[in-house]
Amino acid sequence: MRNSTIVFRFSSGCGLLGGALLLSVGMASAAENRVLSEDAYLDEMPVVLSVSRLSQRVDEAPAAVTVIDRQLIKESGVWDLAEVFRLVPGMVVSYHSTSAYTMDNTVAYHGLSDPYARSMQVLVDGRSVYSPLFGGVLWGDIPVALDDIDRIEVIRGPNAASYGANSFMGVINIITLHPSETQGKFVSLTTGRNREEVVARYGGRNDSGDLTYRITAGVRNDKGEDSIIVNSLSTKPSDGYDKNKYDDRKVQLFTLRVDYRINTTDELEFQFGYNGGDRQEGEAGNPEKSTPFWKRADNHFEQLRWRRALEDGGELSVQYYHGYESSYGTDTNKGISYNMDVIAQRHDLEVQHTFSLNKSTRMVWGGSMRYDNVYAPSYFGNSIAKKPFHLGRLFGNLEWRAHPDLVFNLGAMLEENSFTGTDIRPRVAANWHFLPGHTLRVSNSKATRTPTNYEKVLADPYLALGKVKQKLRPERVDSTEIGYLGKFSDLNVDFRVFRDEFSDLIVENGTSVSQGYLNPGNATLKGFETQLQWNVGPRTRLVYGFSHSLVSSLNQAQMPYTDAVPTTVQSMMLTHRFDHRWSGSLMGYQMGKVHFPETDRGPDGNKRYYVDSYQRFDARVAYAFQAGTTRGELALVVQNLTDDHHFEFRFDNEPPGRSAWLNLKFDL
Amino acid sequence: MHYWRFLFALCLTLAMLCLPLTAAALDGVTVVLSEEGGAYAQVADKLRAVLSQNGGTARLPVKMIALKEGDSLRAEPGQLLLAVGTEAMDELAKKKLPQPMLSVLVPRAAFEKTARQNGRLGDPRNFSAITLDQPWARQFALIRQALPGRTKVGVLLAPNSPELATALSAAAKVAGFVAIIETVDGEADLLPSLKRLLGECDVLLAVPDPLIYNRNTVQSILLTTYRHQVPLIGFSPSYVKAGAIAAVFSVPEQIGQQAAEIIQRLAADQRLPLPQPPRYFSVGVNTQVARSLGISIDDEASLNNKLKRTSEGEP
Repeated sequence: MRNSTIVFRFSSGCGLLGGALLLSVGMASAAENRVLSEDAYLDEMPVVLSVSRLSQRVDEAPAAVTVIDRQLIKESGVWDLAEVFRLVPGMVVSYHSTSAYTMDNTVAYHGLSDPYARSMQVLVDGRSVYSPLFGGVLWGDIPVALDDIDRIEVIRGPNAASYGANSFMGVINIITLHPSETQGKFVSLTTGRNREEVVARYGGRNDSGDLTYRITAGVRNDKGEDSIIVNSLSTKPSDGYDKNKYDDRKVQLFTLRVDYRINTTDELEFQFGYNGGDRQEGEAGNPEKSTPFWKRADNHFEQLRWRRALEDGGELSVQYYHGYESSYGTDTNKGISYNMDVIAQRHDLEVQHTFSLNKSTRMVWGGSMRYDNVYAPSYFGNSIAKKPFHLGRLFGNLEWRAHPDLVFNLGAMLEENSFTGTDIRPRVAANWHFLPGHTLRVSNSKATRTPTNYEKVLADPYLALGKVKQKLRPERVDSTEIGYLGKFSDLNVDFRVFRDEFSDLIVENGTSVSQGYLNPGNATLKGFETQLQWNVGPRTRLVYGFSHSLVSSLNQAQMPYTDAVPTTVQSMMLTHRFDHRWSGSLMGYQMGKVHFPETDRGPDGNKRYYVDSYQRFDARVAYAFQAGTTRGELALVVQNLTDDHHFEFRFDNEPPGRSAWLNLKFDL
Repeated sequence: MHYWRFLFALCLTLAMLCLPLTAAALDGVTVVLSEEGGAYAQVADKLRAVLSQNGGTARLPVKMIALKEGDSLRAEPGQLLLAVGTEAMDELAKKKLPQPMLSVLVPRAAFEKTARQNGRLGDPRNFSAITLDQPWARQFALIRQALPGRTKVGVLLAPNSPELATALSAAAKVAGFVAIIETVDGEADLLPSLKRLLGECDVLLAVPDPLIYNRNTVQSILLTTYRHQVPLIGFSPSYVKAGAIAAVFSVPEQIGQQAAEIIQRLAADQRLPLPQPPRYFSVGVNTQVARSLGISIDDEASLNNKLKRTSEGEP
């Protein structure tokens, strides 16, 4: 690129005035020379939209997909990342429902879960954040700032052929912005009822532009739930039903992402992230826990990825990451101290190759190796040994366009792990565009969930003592669905009916042990759900989700499977842009009554106690402004507009009443 | 009798057609490359290949020299100078040699500037060019054929491009499009301008201005455009590879072909044709990007044919 313009280099690093002057000089000389060379026509350009950057069309994906983009995240006014999934049809989200290890949110597709929902795989930029100890995801511990997220793709339904075990009921793919899209300075300030946060970001690049980076740092002070339950089930102060859990937390966040373009085809991406701080734990209602148990959490990861764009439009990538999840603290109960330290580590190496066999067939295949180890004496029977887990995978998916309007996806994953041995999980799907803009999808997918380290450690002694006959096995699901996607002038419709047959569900309670079998659970989930996007007017949009599902099960080993799925779940989000400055949004969520495995019995010992259905409304009003080169937005968010006091997941878990906060974001 | 007269006339015509080359009015071509190798050499190689073909006319010797050997050039009647690239054009123009000069692989603005600086603007018959810029009409034809129904064409321009903006708007109007032009005031303004533009247009047309489109900016432009689900029309094969949905461009061989044809057709007095846009062109399509955007697009060959048919009416 001879003699080419160097104007863009002038702009950063100078004082404001100096910068402006230099910039205008640069622009003038460039205006003189810029079109005067053939370089623009002849220069080699880097492959930017490589295969892995291009998302598959929703109507050609082998499963139902909900895409949540950054605008939707912002306009929904969510405070926690987990809350945004309330907008996904069928997603059961409950606030701070876990009551030990971490006081975090639960996100479970359709429910059928305890608070540590283990049935979804969650990836951030291709890195699994599925926790090695209890499984599931510690949502508040993910080192990612909401403002750095570009979009989230939620795959509704099992997808082990692409994402491996634990992609059991769904997959959540969180994708952050490329550093070239987050150049400059950005600040977000939030303050309001029980919530404060500061996030600052700086994005820069080197002179030649082949290296871009982003640094994001944040501090969050979250007071969680109100300490007193307003609508307590019991009015007797002595039974402790009037107190919410201890769930305050302070979070320090730091993330770094560096992307380096080696040449026009090769790219390196490095990420580091830290999320940690002091947090409370404990049931305030328990008379023996009159003070919160304070813990310190430290989570971080390092990730390195190399990508090469291949000549035929394919891509080769190699990725390594290390994840580190830890929390420290000594809890005392009745004068006895317990070491509650947990350190869980993960190393993962993956190679992936995408290529075209011919014009109508594309193939992606690859393999990965993983090693987890967990140190958790209090959960491992006081053993201080690190429990290891090894995993090896081979996967492949063939996309065959048999006809311009007919796409087949055939995929499978072969897994071998040190807990349950070898398994193969296939998936087949056909997408037929029977009319322009209208697609019918039929798919069948099989998936497994590998027992977690905790489940394995709990199960091993039963086998050693001969109390159970069989080793712990993976949980299984066989899922069949028929989906329809339609585009009408202002309306996008996504509708599907599904039937998920679960078997070998793990139950580790007295009943299952006494029956000598730790995989006794079976359940069939049938239902339909829909997702609508309606552009009501040029400046008004409505997003609506509805899910209806029913479970049939013999409720083996006294597991309340038939109650653990709310029959209906609804969500809606209405956004309107009043003018170029004012915008507003209104969200509504409704959850049917439900009794989860750990919902527990009510105060009167009622085993069939249901957590009541509830409705919640949130709103956000924003004002965009510009002052010089600073662009900003001031927003008022009100959650739980109607000040509804309801329970989520358990009778001793009441999310906050009406809460408002102000958020100021600006790009400098 | 009529038969003989007709044959005589035909012979005369053929003889006249062959005259410029056979009558030794043009003895040879001196090619000066801005750089050795690469696109420059591809132009020259194609030119040499065409001119050395014995297609019924005498072969025309092609002498190739590097820019640094340009000092050896002297006034040489019967020779045509072919400058390949802006640098070669600039250097040769400064020498003010009497032989006619054709510049290729140069943007139109560069040619006009050099001609102006050297007082050759009014001398197109001796100082001409095949410019790199594809005619606007051809680019709009590509949009019409590749992305039917999309009529709001967004264009990012650097400041001080009023002539470009006017020409573009006029061409868009003629072709039945609306050009929405956003001016980028410096680096910091690039993404905000782009985002504003993407809110209003349904296709983005990249105009080869290194101030806006260069290796530093291509990443953020393509990613942002893709996020807004707006297809981008590029201007080179490498843009198509990078992530533009399509582009119409002329590869060096096509420029070489056109140059060779001009040379073969030179009249006895060696008068060059007026500066002209590329005659031969190719269409590139990125099917992966198209598929991901949910756009069904014709393949390269059929778009090429459609564009050729529409461009036959072009000047």
